[in-house]
Amino acid sequence: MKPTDNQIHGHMDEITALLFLEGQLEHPRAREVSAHAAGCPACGALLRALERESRQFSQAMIEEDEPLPLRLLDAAPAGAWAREVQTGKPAAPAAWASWVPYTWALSFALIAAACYTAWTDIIEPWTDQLDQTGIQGSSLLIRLTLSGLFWEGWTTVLNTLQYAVWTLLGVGVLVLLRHRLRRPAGVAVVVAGLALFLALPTPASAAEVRRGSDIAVPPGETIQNDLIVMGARVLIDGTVNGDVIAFTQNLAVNGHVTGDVIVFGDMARVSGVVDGNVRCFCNTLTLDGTVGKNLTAFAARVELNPRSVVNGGMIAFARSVIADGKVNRDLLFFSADTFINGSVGGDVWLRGGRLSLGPSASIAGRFQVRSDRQPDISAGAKLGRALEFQLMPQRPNRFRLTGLYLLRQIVSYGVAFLCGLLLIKLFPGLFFAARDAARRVGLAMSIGALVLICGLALILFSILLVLAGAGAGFATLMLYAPVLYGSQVFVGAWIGDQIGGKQRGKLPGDTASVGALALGLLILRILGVIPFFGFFVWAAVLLWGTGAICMALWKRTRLDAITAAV
Amino acid sequence: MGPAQLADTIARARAGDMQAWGDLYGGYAPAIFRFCRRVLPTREDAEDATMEIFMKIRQKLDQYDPERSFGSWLYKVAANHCWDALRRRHIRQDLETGEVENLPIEAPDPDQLSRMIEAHTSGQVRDALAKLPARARMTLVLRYYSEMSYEEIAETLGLRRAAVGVVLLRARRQLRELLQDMDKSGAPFGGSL
Repeated sequence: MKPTDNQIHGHMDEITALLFLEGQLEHPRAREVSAHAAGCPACGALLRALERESRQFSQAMIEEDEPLPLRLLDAAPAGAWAREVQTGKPAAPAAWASWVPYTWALSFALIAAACYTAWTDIIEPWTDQLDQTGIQGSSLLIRLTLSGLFWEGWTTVLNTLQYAVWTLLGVGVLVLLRHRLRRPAGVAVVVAGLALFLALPTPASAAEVRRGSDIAVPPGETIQNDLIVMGARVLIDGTVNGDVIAFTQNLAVNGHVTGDVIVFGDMARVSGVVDGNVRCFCNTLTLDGTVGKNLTAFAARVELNPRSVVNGGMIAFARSVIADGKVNRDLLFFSADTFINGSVGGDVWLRGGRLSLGPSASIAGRFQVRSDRQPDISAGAKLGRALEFQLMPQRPNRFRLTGLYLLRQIVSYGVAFLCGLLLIKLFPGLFFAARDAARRVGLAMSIGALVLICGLALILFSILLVLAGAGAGFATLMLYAPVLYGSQVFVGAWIGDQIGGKQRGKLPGDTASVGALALGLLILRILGVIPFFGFFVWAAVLLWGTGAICMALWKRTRLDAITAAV
Repeated sequence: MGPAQLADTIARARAGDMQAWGDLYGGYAPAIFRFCRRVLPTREDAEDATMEIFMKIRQKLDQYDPERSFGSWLYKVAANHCWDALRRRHIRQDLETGEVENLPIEAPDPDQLSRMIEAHTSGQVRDALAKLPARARMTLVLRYYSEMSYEEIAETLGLRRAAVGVVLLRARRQLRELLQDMDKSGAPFGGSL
């Protein structure tokens, strides 16, 4: 090391001075430095200046420039302890704590109102329509599960799934309440209850399963069981004394099935006899034969040829339907293009686009149509009753800035803002954690996408469960609803916080956060109403916010672990 | 919390007393959060790190040697955690050396240094500290906030003990330069770190 100017002039250098001040020099060297500093004003001044600088650093670092974040302080039960320790007083319940029971009551009331609305506006009209199609029963659940709308075996499967969901929900509750359920007896009761639920389902009966590219049940062969087939082409020319469940590109039933036929695939043709129901989830369904009970189709195209007979009712969700056969009970169609040229023994209820009745059409019961255009009824068609037609106007352009549209946007903005305020007041830790988690945009959106993709499957799963158990289904769905709605609140809060970040230090914490929330939500709302672009904005917000919530919940779970009883 | 009371609280926390653990958390969480706030780039990082540090502390409480200072042990865990976090995020400057040859040879003018100390507030020092490279910032915080010994700093940062003083001095000089730069540029002081 080259000598420094200080060393040349006999003064100590800075590193020596610092090490001396820090007590890091050997004793002999320290004594030398001390003696030198006593007689050298320049070195003495340097030591004093460095010492003052050290004190300034310490002071700057130790100074409490910002309090412990709420997220850390509010971690129950550590939050209460932290406050006690900091204030020296027992933690008093927060002012808003008294709101909590009322908020819960309000929430349950809102959920109850939503359920009632859903029932009266959606489910009840559906049950009425199902009644009209001849599917009888005392309740929707019984109708859908026990009356044979689906394969009878589904009841057992659905029960099992329902128990599984209850179990999952129970485990979730256990995880959430694990700090409150410290008493082993309480845990034991819950676990025993779950175990009992698990023990209840009865095992589903076995079925014959066939796999391969071409699967055939040749004429003369009889299968005395349910048949599950998976293959590119399935041909049933023989007899199946049970249900047929097919996952295939091409299904042809020319033989006899005494149970139901359920098909998932591309094309299905039933030319033989099915004593039970036909349920089709495929591209094209063609019926030439006979269906003993009901026909349900979710398909692009449904064709009932002149020789075909459906002894029960028929429900179709399809792009186009040609009904040239005979249906002994009611028809319920959601179809863009419908042509009826056969006979219907019951009522016809149709909602959709174009409807034509051919010259051979015959409808014995009521004929109700809701469409945006008048049906085309051939002169030869026979109607038991007069047509009940309801014109459905074209949906107005949602992007048109009408007064009503603006009002709706303002109300939506207000509701989202109120939700955010409630979250800030009631769950500040979660709110700020989710808002902060939103800063990791890429990660949050990835997690959001993952959760929503899984969630979509879960929603479908839940819809299925609604058929088996409304309680489990609704409970599962209810878990998602607040997360999806809350996504805009957290993203808005984060955006507002980024834009108004400069004001953060000048305003009290809550005021700044509320202002940021208001600003961020306003920005989102404005971006969201832009035609086309708005769709992508809301989609991104949904992914982003959902991911942020999940990250925040995950972090809070970990935080709880810190304070949990050992 | 006096030493006897602290020892009792730690013993009870080890035995599974939830209230004792709460006392420890309440007593030390603000200091650990502040430590993380000084060392890590953002507030959110500091919050996350505080949580994670207390999780580690809870797991490692049985390993704590009552003969040592609890605060020192706590800061050691915190420092290791934060340093690892910085390393994982590739924002550590591992190329820095502790060689004296790399130091500028001029010692500061004591009068000028004194004027600089008087001219800057704690908030301005914190602002400048936040702009330092990770290793320099970490070294200053370990020394002047946690009051760690040179041996502990060397162990935490993976340095030779003899290099700690040099790294510390370089960090102080960088901090001074930043304060001077901020004076010249007229950058606002006093914002949050």
